[in-house]
Amino acid sequence: MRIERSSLIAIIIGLVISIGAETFLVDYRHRLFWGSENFLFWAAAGLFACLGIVWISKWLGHAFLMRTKDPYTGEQLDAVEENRENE
Amino acid sequence: MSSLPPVVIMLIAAALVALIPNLNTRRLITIGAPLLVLGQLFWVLDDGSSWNLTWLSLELEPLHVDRLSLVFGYVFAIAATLGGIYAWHLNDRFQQSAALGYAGTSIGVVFAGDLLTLILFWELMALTSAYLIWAGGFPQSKAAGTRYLYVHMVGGSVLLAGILLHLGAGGSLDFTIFEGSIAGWLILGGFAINAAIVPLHAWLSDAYPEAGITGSVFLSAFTTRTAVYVLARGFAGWELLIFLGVIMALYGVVFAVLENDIRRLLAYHIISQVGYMVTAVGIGTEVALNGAASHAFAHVIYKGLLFMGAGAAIYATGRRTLTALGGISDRMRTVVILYMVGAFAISAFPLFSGFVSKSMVIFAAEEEHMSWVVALLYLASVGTFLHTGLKLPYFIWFGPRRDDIKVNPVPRGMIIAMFFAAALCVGIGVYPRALYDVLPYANHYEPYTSDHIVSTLQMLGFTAIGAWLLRHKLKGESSVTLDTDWFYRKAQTPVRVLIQHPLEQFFTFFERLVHFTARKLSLLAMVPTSGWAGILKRIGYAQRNGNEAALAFLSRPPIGIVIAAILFTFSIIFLIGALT
Repeated sequence: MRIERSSLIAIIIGLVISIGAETFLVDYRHRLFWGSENFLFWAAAGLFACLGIVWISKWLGHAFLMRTKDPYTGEQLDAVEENRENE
Repeated sequence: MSSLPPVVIMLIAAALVALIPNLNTRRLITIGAPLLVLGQLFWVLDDGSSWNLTWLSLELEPLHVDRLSLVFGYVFAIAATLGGIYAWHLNDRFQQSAALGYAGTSIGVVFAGDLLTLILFWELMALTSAYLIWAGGFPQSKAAGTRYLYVHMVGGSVLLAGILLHLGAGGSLDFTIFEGSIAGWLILGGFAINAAIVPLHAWLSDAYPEAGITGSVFLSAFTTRTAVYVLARGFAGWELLIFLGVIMALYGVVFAVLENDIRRLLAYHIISQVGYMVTAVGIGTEVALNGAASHAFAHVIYKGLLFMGAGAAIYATGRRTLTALGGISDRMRTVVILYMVGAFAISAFPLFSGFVSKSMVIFAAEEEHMSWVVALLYLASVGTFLHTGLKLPYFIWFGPRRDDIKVNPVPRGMIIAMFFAAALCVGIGVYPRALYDVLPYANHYEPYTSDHIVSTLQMLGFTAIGAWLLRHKLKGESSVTLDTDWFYRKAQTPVRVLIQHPLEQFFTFFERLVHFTARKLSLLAMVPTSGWAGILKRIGYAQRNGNEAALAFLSRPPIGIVIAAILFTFSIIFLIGALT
């Protein structure tokens, strides 16, 4: 996976803001579950949860769930969509 | 009169709308009736109000008001009003009437104090909402509406069976908490279908995107939320619901990644968000039930707003898939801004309604030390922001400008309704007391702590970064995603061949036999004395050739002979009687 410059800048800015907010605004972080009281836990959780959801869902979809041909009508979906757009 | 059930007002309004030809009058009724109900709920009815009637020696209670029913009543009246404003441009009296009837019967369910009233409005709710799907005008609307109705008929039958078993076993007609008997499980099954509990959920993602643009706004508000209400009333504390709720929260998120149709994607997020409420009902503590009620309240408003935004995009462009849209934000700025308010609300950003309601459900799980529930609900929360807050707006409106997409102006009513819904999302987020004060139980939860705000912003901020990294993967794909409706949709053909056709042939055979016999007997009555074969042949010839005169001629003498024979018989009897 190639990380673009804009993404890298966004991550750095996000980290700086998070560290600042966590250092100066949070007095006490209570433990919800393993690791949740740690520094920047929620930033890591958001990032990895997002990546995990997309990858796992896409894998499940392509492996088992998604069909390019409508299983109920037998139509090829690209063609159906193209027709709709042309209407 | 002060305790008249609000459903009566709504149903009278629905009937009037169906009969009145003047569009402006219909518009005023469509908005005025739910506003009247809202006023009634605020100023006339309060905790403890009721209305009873006796029918066939049964003591019914069509109006039973308590704090739980009031929260749902308020938000249903608000949603119906906003829906009416959004549908201001709609000139279809039957759709307007069905929408009012649907909202009214949902309110009827919420205030039903007994099980018979409940099942009555439950079924009417299915019927009126099915009409909104049928009237959608999309190629799949008719079939999807019929499937929707079938599923809800099955659900209603299961519920009715449960209620009858419950009554048969000596249970009370009052709608209270149920035990773990067979009747209780059947009633739970009926409620679970309407709550779209996985795997009984597929009707929702199948049908809602096929409804009309205004119809789907109404649909997004009522059915699943009435189910949450009845679960909270009848099954609070059933631990199975915690497990099912968490599955729903994650299931909707996974399927939303795969979805290309914008309203189907939102429909999957209804399943996900209702999962939070079902989890809260399963936890069953006071704070959890407060969480379920407050999240239902907030969700009705922001999900309505999201459906309004998606509907506006479809209305303006005539396109409904992510792959067919994009690059039109500069031509729909107001819609984009108002949609984003709904997106921030559902994603639980601070100062928006989801932040003060969703976190209450998670807090309830935290209080019960259910750390796995907390973790998985946070995971679902990430998925919610990913899809409704990032994927959907990005691929509908943003990206490189596309001049090939024609953008028509959106009616003013749609924008006004979105504005009011957005104002409520922000209002509840900024001043949560307004919502917390109407919850069923006293509230001690405080959403605005530095820890909660910073952790939420960190999590959502880095979700946005993750989405930006994977934005090419998030792009819509022209595909159909298989869901559990595959089982009953694929079963249609074998059911038709193995059950429906033989049954139809069986009944057709007897129908023909009956017709044949009736025709022969009728001919025999007309021509009783003549040779059957020849007469039938001649009458058949006359019938085939449409020769009425010949038929009448052939019929006349035998009828005369029969009448003469009857008169002669009576004369003989009379004579014998006179002589003796």
